[in-house]
Amino acid sequence: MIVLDRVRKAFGPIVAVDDISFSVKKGEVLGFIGPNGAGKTTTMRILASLIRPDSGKASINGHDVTTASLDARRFLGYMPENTPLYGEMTVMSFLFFLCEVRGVQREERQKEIDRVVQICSLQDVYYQTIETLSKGFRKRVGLAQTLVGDPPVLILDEPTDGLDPNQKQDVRTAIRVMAPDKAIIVSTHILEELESLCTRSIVINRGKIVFDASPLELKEQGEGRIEDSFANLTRGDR
Amino acid sequence: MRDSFKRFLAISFVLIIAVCAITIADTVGRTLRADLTHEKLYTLSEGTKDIIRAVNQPVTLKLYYARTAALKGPEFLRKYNNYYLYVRDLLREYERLSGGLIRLDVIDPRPDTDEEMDAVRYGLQRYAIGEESFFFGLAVVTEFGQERALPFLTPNRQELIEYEVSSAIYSSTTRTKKRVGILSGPDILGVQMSDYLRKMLEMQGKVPPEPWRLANQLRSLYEIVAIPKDAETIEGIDILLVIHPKALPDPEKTFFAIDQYVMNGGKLIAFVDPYCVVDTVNSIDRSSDMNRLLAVWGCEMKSNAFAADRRYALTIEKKQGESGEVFLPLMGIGPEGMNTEDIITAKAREVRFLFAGGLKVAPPQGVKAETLIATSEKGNYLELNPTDFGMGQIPDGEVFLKRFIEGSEPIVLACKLTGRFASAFPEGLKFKENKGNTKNSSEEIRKGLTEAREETTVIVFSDVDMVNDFVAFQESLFGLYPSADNISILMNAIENLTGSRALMNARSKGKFSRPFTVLDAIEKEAEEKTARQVAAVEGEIARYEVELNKMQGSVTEENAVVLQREVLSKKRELEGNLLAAKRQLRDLNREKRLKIESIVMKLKLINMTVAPSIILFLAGLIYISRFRKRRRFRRMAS
Amino acid sequence: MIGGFSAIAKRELKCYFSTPLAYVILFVFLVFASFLSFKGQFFEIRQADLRIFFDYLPILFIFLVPAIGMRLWAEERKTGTIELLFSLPVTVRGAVLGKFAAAWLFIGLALVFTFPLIVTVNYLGDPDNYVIAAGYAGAFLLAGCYLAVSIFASSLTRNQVIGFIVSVLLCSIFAFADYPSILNVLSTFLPLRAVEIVQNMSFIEHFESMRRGVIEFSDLAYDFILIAGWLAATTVVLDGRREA
Repeated sequence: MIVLDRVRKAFGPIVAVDDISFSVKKGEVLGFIGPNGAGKTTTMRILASLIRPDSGKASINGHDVTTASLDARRFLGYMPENTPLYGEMTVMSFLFFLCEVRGVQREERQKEIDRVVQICSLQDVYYQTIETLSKGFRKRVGLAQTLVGDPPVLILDEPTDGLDPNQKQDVRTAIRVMAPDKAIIVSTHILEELESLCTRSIVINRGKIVFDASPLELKEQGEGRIEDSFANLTRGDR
Repeated sequence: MRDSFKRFLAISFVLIIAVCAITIADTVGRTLRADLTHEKLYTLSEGTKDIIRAVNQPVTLKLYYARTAALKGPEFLRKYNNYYLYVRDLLREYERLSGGLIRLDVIDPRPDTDEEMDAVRYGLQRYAIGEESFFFGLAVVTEFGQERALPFLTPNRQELIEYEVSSAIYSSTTRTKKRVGILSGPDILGVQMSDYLRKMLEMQGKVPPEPWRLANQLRSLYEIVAIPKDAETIEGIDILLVIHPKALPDPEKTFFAIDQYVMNGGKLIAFVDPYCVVDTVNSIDRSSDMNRLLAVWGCEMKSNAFAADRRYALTIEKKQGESGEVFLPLMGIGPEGMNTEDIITAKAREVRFLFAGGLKVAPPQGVKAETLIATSEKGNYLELNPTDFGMGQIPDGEVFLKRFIEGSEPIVLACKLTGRFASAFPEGLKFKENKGNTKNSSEEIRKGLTEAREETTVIVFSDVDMVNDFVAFQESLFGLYPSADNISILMNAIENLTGSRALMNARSKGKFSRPFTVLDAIEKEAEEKTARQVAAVEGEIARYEVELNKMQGSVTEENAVVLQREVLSKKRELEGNLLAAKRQLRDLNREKRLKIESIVMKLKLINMTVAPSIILFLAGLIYISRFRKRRRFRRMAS
Repeated sequence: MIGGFSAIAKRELKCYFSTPLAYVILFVFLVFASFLSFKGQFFEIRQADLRIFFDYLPILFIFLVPAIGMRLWAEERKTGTIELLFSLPVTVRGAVLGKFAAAWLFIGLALVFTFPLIVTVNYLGDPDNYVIAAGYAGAFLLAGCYLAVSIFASSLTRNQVIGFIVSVLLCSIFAFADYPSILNVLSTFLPLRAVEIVQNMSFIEHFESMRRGVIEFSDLAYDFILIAGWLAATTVVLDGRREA
């Protein structure tokens, strides 16, 4: 569902993404890890059509993100870093807005929103303006936003960042619920999350993929400790 | 870096395209427009279109506008800039409709160039702005060398521009001089001779009648035809001026001739007068009238009374050095008294009258009457009392001031009648023919037209002095110059009536005023309420002033000491009275002002608060509804 | 639904009504609109038309419109919601047009709320209501021009205040392009033809005939081309973000 083929993107002299290829199939939850500045966010932004790659191809659900970006985005739920949201809107009107943008039929909007609100447990804040919400709820609204219209591809940039352990657990549960029908990429630098959430992990360093296998294998490589393996992979050649 | 450069390029490209497209649209699309104004202010009238259609030779419209100079000039020139664009567009419309015969040249005359010389040569007005000179005028030049110029165009006269341009085009393309017939009681045309010959004759003690200056002015533009006082038929002229018709050998016969002239579609401008100061024909009865005809056509002159209006009364100097006195019979009617919708009077600033009569306008069916000049509402008639004029002397202004009472409706001083008139001689003219000197003079009836063949126009002025040098011109160091617009409105009228019908239809582009009628009505009502009191007080004030003046005049050096005490105390008393009366007047006016002010205050308040409070209300409403929803939801959730 | 146009327009419009700033701007505009008209001797001249109001409008717009337009893109960039927005199936053009339409409608609403003036002149006299209607249409188009400029300025920066200042500057240049003092400075180094083009770019000049009650094709063309041009430039700027 998600395919990257030799994608490269440089910002001036800095190569942020260097010749990356991978694909994610339905049912997979890909954990995308790497140190800060490794190129995780850039890769995700390329997939969200926010940046045009210098070379290579990326596609979502078979639609190329540069040539058919509108179609590609139709099948994508994207949660940007830091979950930016329209603060002055209420949760309800924000979700309605998304319904409209993603082309949910007028009659089905309420049903769709009810579904999403259910998954992300937003009932209590449904009528509140987003800017008055706590961080945990904001993240959940950010997640709910990606689910509206039920897109088959989800790309979540650090969905649990800055949450307390309980909230993290809630978000993870929500992702897990949806996982079977979707292709999901989650970026994180919380290593334990890989194990509990992902079916596959990709470690990226300096724009290159340095590891691509299941989290279990990653753990094995580090002799039972993911941290060690991660350190080896990303620091080894320094 | 390359990216941002590319972006910059793209933006510049977009903007350049926009600029080009706008410029192209501007030059191409100027003529495509919809005029939504009620009066169609920006559409050429049918009359103008007729004139353009009738143009039979190449005409160049040279529009001189000192654009460069205007750019350097002060801010207020912006007004001219806008007006220039308007005029240019209007002239383009002429160009477009002419099918190639009319060409528009827009010229920006720079200092010390041939263009500037040309502009000056055409008689355009030049204003110096620093080193530059500002021009904004139009020259109409035909292939046959005819030239007409509009020396300076100002936005204040926007409503006249179409007429002025059309009339310039019309008069420059129709080459023949119009024939103006003049039938007058006094000898207006005089005897034409060279100044040298005149001097020679004067030295011999023979003083040939000197022509009125009016006649000279007419001669320069038209071919003048003197119509004898006993003319039986009047024909072969384009327009007839009847000035002070009196001392006619057989009035019936002359009036019959005039009547038939009008019945045949002739155009007529008549000047009649209840008291003509400059009358040289008969110094006792100085009146003239044409009521024999005018009564039938719809505007009779009231005899034995003249119109006066304190508002327009002028002050005259009786003797040199003395302070002037208000002289009611001499009026300078200002723009408020003019009909601004008629081309003849639209741009007049002042027209002077001396002992003018009043016209009672009552048009019969089929005749349209239009007041051209009138006094204000407070004008009224004053009786012409023969005793006032002992020995042909004009009495003091005080005499009239004392008698004057304010009236309640305007008195018409000039009026324009248009229509198919009925003859004043429906039975024809009874002709008495004296065969030799026998007693059996037989009566013969000469029949004429009983109704006009076609629509025509008659303009009546109720004063003769107004076109005499005495009132219309003023002495100055540089010779005589017009003291007011008297002659120019007559010229306008002649131009207007002798022009083609098309020109008449090239109406004034009415800058129709749309006043606050409600406020005006309130003011009027308040005025009416206090009118009588105000009039009384005003009369008192005038009387005190006259008395004061007289008293000051009576003090001479010899009797100064004797009279001083008495005079001083009297004067103080008068001044006190005057002050009190003025205060009273102010109080009366205050009521009216207060009423208006209170309404204005109310409206201001409403205007400034209504919409903002609606906004505040809406904001509050939305806030509350949100708050409620949330609370209701919380209650449900818990 | 073209590229998210209607959804975005609706959202933006809703936003205006849920933020106090919009109400403050409306409030200030309306107070000033009537205040300036009265200060301009509306009741002293006693003419049943809105000439004076339309005289002041272009100056009021210099502040009103950028105040409304400043947040359109600057806020999105600042809060990062622009990322969210463009990851949704919307085109840049659709988004620009949607935001423009919403803000334009909002200004239209501000104009509607000046209705007491119309009622006043109709009560006091007998105005030519067609001319007034044409004047309002012209004012609305004029506002569109200002807004297109403001939205462009807003897309350049993430700081609303800078966006506001830049658009006020740009708007005043366009508004006063036909002022002799400005033309004079230009004419010292530009040929007359070029100065004429600059003069022709003036917002106010193209508002002039509409408020007199004449709708000219060239003025309409000017307004629409100008709006289209600035919006296209905005699209280019936003599109360019993807490159960098």
